[in-house]
Amino acid sequence: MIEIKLTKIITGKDLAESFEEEYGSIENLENRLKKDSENMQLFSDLEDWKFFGKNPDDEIEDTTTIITDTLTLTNLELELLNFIKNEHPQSIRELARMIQEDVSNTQRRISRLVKEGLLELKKGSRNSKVPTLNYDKIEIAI
Amino acid sequence: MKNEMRNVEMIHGNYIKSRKSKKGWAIVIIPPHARIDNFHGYSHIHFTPTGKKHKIIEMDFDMLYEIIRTHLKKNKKLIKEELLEVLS
Repeated sequence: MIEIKLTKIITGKDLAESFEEEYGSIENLENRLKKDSENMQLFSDLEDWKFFGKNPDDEIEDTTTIITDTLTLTNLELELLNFIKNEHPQSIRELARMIQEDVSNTQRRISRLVKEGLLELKKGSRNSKVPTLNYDKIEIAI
Repeated sequence: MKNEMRNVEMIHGNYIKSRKSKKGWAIVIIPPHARIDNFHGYSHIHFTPTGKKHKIIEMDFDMLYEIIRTHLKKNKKLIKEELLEVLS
């Protein structure tokens, strides 16, 4: 078993915005909770939304822990993560050009890292996909 | 320390969502639905948002978290009665 901890620092405002994206409004969330009154997730999200709505500047250390048997990150992929974090390529094509690699190879590596949950592909200009590392810290425990 | 620390972890298809702040801490296990927290002045577990709060032994957050992880790793699911017995 390999344990990967992905950590990012967000604010109360960021968290409230993520709730808004997911539920639309506090009223929607309250209505959903009324219909599904045993749902602790909805209950906790409502509690958090109300709290962080009033405390938008609070800093939150937000960690996702992934436990996997199958992580086989190569040094090259780790370097790729580091490169994306520091150089901010605006598309996979641009990334491939920056690291002087064939686009299809880069695409394959990126797909694997997305599947592992380490990268996210955000919508860029002209239908491009922007590889984004959303985490400030990645810890791998073996 | 930040104002709040949050963690999401999945063990055998069960999510453990935890958060810890100066106000207190909470751990939610999904599915089914259980929440352990100390937000009302004492540590307790409840299985519905407004349901009965079962008092549990006072212990360090990290120790409690490890008990829950071990429970889910061993049973591959939450067995409410067993966890309640361990924590009471």
